[in-house]
Amino acid sequence: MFSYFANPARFEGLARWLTPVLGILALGLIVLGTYLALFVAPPDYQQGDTARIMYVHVPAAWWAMGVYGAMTVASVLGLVFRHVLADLAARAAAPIGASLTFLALFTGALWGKPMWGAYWVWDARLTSMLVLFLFYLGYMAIHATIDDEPLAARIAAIVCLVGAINLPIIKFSVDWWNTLHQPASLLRKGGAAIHPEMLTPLLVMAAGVAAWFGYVWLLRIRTLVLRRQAFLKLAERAR
Amino acid sequence: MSPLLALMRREVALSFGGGGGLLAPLAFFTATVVLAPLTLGPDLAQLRILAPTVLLVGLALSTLLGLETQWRHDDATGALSQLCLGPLDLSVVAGVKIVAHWLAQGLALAVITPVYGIMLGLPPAQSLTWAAIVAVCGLGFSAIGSLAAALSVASRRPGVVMAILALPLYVPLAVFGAGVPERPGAWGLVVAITLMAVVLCPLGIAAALRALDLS
Repeated sequence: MFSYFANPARFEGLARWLTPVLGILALGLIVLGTYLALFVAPPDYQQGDTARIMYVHVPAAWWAMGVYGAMTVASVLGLVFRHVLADLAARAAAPIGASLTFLALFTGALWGKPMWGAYWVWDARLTSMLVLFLFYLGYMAIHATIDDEPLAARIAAIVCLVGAINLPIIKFSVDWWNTLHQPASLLRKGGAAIHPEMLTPLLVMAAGVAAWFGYVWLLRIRTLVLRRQAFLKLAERAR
Repeated sequence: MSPLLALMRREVALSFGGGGGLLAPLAFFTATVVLAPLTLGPDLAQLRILAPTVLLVGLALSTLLGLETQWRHDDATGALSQLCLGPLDLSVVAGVKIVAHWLAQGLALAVITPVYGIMLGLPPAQSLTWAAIVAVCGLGFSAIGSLAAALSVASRRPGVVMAILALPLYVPLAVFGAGVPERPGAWGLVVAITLMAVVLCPLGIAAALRALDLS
């Protein structure tokens, strides 16, 4: 299926109608999820209404990692099949992932102040997310500072894979470090199980963020394809 | 002479001979260590708490400093193209370069570490442990840093990009290395990650250099 849509023209044919569909879907799901989260879901019995930030924070954190996964798949396809579209897809995903990671960190800080009494604590999850943010920045720095685009794409793909191999090790090491320094962490949120009345808005929001990612991703890929075509045309005319 | 030996000789000579040899990394490491009491105060009990930070951050930064030109210099002089055409696989070349860099830097810093450990208030036995930690982590840092250096050769701002790439990758080694004095069990993890870095980073370096060579 991938090879079928690897043709830019065919991709554009698909993306042209899929982009607005995903955009409308994202808008609908996020509006519905926000309504469910603010008016239908019950307040947390310990944290009260403050816990409602969870419906933004958790989907953002999930997709911050999910986007890195998508970027990794695109990078592998780009490295193996040397297809421009895969390179562009990986490149297009990075700023979206970085912004979701930032959103997760920022909403986490806002949530942390009333709950933990501090905007930032060196919790294992927070620290891992910060490192993930650094990986996104490193990846984007490659594209920002290498002018030769095919070379930048290959180097960036290697950077992405190195990160994908290392992120689980970093996660493990940060968990280990955290248990070393804070043996009894009381900062775990929520109980073991989550009530369906809270789970439904969470899943709706997660689906909404997924659709939003798909929408922005396709938009960005199409923009990069167009930019590339314009550039090639200019180069041709110059010759 | 076999190509491997010849390359080893060249790399070691370059590592020791280029830019002050052993003196440059040692001076840099010393300068970072000296900043600690000057910013924190001369209380040894407080410095003892901060000693792992000073030693590991100093090691990480001096590794980065030494590696910045490792591949860029070869790329600029054309030596890189020669190495690409040569009989050795690029990953082997990378492995040799990593070991040579470690010999000239990580190991030298490890030798001086007990002195600085004692100056920072660590007990002598723990200072020796720290020498071993610096030696092993230094090899791991050299491998990871060399990968970051290879990935940033074509960049317009190689130094900054290299640091952005390398420092997050240093996290596991720094975490487990700093944990060794408290939990000796961490040794296994430090050695495992270092070995993994020494084996896997050359593969990444080779891929990056091939991409450079083609462009």
